[in-house]
Amino acid sequence: MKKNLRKLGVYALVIIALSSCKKDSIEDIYVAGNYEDGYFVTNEGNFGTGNGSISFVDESGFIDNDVFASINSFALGDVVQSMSIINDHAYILVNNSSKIEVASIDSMISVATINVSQPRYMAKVSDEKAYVTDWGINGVQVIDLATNTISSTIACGTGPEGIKVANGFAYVCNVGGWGLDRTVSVINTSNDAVETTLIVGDKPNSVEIDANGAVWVLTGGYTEYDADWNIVSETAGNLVKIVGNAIEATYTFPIGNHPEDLIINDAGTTLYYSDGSWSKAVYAFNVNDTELSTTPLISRSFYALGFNDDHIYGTDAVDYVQSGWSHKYSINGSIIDSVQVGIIPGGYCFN
Amino acid sequence: MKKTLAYILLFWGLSVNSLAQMAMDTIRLPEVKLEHNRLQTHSIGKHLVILTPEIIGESTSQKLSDCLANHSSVYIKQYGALATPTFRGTSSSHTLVLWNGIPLNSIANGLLDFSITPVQGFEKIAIVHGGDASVFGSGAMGGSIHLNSIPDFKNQKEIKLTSEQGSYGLLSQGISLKHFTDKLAFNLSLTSLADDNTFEYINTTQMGHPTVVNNYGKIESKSGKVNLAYKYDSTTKFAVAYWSSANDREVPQNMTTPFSDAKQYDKTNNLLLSATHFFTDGLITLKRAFLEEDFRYTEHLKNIDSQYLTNSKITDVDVKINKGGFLYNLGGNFTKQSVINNNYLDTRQLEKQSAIFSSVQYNYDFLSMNTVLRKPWQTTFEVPLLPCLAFSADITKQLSIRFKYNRNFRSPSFNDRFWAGAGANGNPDLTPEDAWNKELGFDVNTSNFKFKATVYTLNISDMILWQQMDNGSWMPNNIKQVWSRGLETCLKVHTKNLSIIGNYAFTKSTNELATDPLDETLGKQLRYVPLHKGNINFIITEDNLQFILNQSYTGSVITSHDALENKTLPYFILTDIAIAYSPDFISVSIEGKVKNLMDKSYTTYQNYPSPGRELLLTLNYTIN
Repeated sequence: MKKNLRKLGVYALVIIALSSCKKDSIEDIYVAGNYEDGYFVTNEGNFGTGNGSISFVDESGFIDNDVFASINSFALGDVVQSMSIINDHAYILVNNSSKIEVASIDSMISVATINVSQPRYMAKVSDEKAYVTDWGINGVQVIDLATNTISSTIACGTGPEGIKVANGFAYVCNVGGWGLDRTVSVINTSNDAVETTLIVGDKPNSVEIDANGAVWVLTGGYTEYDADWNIVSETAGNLVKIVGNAIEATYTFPIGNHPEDLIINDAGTTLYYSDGSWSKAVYAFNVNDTELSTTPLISRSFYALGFNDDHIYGTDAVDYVQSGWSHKYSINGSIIDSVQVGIIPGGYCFN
Repeated sequence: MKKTLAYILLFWGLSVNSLAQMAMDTIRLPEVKLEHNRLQTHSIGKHLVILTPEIIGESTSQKLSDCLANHSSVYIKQYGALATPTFRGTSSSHTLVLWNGIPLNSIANGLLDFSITPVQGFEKIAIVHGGDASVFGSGAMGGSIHLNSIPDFKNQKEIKLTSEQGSYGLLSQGISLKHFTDKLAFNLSLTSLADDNTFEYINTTQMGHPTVVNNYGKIESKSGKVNLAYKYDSTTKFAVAYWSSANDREVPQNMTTPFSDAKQYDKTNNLLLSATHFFTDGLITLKRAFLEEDFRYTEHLKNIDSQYLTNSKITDVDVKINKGGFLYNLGGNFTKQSVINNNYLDTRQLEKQSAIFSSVQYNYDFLSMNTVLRKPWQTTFEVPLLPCLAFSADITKQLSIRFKYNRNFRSPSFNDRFWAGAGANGNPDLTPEDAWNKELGFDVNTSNFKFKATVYTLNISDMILWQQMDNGSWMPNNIKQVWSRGLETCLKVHTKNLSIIGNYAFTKSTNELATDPLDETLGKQLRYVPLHKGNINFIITEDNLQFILNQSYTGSVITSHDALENKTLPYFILTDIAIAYSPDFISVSIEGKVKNLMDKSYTTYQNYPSPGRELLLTLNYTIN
């Protein structure tokens, strides 16, 4: 209790200091290492306006909105898509401003800016290399982490989206960008070459690796309409299990549903995702399950999902114009806490 | 149809009965002249402002967006390649722009881009604060702007050549011809403009806040207007008006996006034919208009090539009869619209709509009353009956009060109903937005001093809001409710050499319906609606010299709502000065203007910079 009170006091001081001197020089606001006990939420901002941001929520529930801009005195930019923490640095991918902002994770002070095209998600390959999926080049940007520059690119399918690295391979979901794709590109991380391309189903959006090294891909399916809003063609979403770079199992969702946002618990044993047709809910799937669950875990539609330390997190963008919310749930689906974050909260980043 | 006729007759009957007694006492000739156009006939109760030549100035490159932003109480949002107005806290598609009584707003998106609408080359520009859909139809919910180009048979014969240069790379040339005989009045104007827009600004979103020169934002535009009025005989007049324009623009992105390859091409062709015939006690006007809009937006790096072609054919009939102190006005309108848009599933859409309106006006001594009833029909959705009741009374010779109570609407645009894009779908079942407007005002009118004040309350329901559905795609619904109320004032002082013109508006416009359980905006001011906006203009005239100083104040606006602290744009004050000299010995006049004299850094839309200090020089050579 005393420790919490003291922490409270420190954070209160920090917040008061931050809010009262917004335009001060960087030295005045520097507080070392205060991003350890908590998590980040990336806020896209309104498309075309450049008001994307990141929020930091600490253990006691205090929120620091606009972290990057208040420390560095310049804006993150237009559509902050995602953030990854690699080698004690925060890599913030700003989709419509065509860049990746690199900052020290201790202080959030900007150290570099990498110019890309339309970056989506980032995955660490090794201490020296990372991959960034980029819709603008329909491929992956290979980032040299020592110099924070692009060393090469790898062509994938259309609209490479979710990416995860395991077993010496990178698995890239080609969601189709502004069109349609149904493949996953498997890249050999030792030679940066596409080893194989697997057909998993229309619009693969997210991928996770489980405790056994199996790769799980979630595809959303695709619905095509005619002029009178009648369905011309429709394909179902799938949860696909890939082992040894080949498809081992496919679980198909009811047609008309468009599942997305696949996440996995810290132990690597249970997957969670949002599914539904007109209204969405969060479902759980144990990696040993043989069929998809029909009972929702959390009956609520979220814009993005996250998992950390036995808690499920979900964001609510409200009307996509005002500040959004982040909700914290227990693993049995009961709500614990809600905090107001930035505009259109689109992702989580746990330290 | 029968029910509507019954309503019309009932309204007429009521008006006649209640004033019959007054009519018995004194018969007075009505003040409203028969030749007046629809705006003038229905000006009773309105807050109407005419843009005088001093406000418009000599510059041919002056656009409606700049003019309203600096010389009125209307807030203009300028971003990328679009400038839209906010009258009385309403949105950009709630202001109707009419050209000689014909609506110009795009039928695809319901807007008109004010940054490409010129203020030069018209006979008269009138701005009406407050909705007027009962007389002018869909879209006139917050206000309307009337551009009239048909020449009067005034004493005007001249050829004028204009050349203009601006410090950010503006080069504009124009030629205008005016001629009249006792049977024919004619005017022609051609302008060509190129602007590099290389203004400097401080990029507050980049590290170190560097000063950057805008290198993407070139504009090239050409426009031609021809207007002809012909007196066939003493009772019949014909008129032809043609307006064609082409604008090619580079569209810059917001300050955080370093590179843009977006381009926009806007071409419009408007033709109007009209015939007016006077008979005993009345007149009839027939209008036939052909409007075409060709729009293209490209962003090749993102594979975007959005195009639409709209076509409107409008037939308008207006009959006015003047009998026994009453003015009866009956009008009918029939419109055929077609839109070809590569963003619709069924790329070609054709629709028809028609409307009839009836009005009874009574003028007795110090009191004027106007009642209007309008019924529109549309092929797909139902449009309600639109009544209007307006009074104006002269309390003394200098003071008059006015009152207006009317219903306005806006039809959902073609884009709202038929758009089919990546993740966004139109809703073909949309119904029109509905608004009830009540306003009360008074006017003080002396030879040197004029003052106008209006208070209003506007309730908008069924307003269209695009929302993201759970399945991820965006769709519009008639779900929003807004309540706007406020005060508008206007002041004009004239002495021998000095004119002072001031405008001020207080606007409280709030969201009245929560569209989500976590909606923070309920009861709060809408985004991009300033509480305070005003300007003051000093014009000093001495012999051949004119000195103009204008200061405008724009209050802060909310860009995003938050429970703790809303995100806002700060308030700003802009100063413009101009000096005009027209010597007697040569027929050349020169005007030097400094816009944003104090080089203020400001923005009207988040992260879109505005130019700093700009110098403009205009030369006019007139041959009479």
